[in-house]
Amino acid sequence: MKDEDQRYLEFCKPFIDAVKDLYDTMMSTQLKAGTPFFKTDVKPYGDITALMGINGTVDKDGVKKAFKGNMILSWPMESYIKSANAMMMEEYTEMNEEIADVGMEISNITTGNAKKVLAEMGYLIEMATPTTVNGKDYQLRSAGNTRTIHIPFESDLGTFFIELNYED
Amino acid sequence: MAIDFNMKTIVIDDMMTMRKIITKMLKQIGFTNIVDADDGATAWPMIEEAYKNGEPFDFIVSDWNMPKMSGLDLLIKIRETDGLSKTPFLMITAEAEQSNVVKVVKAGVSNFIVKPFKPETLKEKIEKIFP
Repeated sequence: MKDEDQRYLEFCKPFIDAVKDLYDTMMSTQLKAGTPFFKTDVKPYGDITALMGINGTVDKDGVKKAFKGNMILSWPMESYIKSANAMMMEEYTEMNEEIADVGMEISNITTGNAKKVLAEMGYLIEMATPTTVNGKDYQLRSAGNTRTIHIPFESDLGTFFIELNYED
Repeated sequence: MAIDFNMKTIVIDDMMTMRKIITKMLKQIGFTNIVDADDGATAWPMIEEAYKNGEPFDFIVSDWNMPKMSGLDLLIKIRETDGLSKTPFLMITAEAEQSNVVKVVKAGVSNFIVKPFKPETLKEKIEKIFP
């Protein structure tokens, strides 16, 4: 594996650990992470997708440079509702106002916790405000030389994935 | 100062999800008198008004990152205001870096909790505020 690819994967790990910790702590659910891979084609997103900007600077070997990117969390509807119910101690059967911002909160907590570990690795992230996209048949494109790493997850609450877009 | 579960408590978070989760956890712990607000900017007039009416909030539980007025700005405002300055204040944050901890401690926070957390952790943090 190229050094650059290794570095991207190293950047992903704190996000994987953070989302696993969140599911364990707030939903009493053990997440199983699949093998991360670099995305090369357009794959459909889930029914609920949360996005969060992860721009900042990285200090590697005394050289400081800017990086930009975003983290995308995407769930099929059934898995989103199950996750929201587990987190909120509710028993909803369909999407509603009460659980509409669960995806953003998961995104917020995941990034907040990953940020601390990344800072120790030299990546300083400015927290942005998350947003969500609901629906099907949409595409999210990132500019230029962005690399996208796709990490699938599964648990008793269903499947979802994280995508990290990174460019420096 | 043991916990008075009937103390007037305000939960402040811009995300409805977290307001509901925290309120539920507080109720599980035993709290009975809870209202909520969706931003520091919404909460501040409620806190001022309650004080002026002679029924001040006894406990403030606030998120840090909010769009209009952050939890840190609200905490500073409260600590600077006569009559409110001693109000117990629990800060909730998703960012656990040391620099953040220093900021809230300097501003006079009573305790803080990092998301994600379980109800037991919330209870422990509150018990340290009201030993």
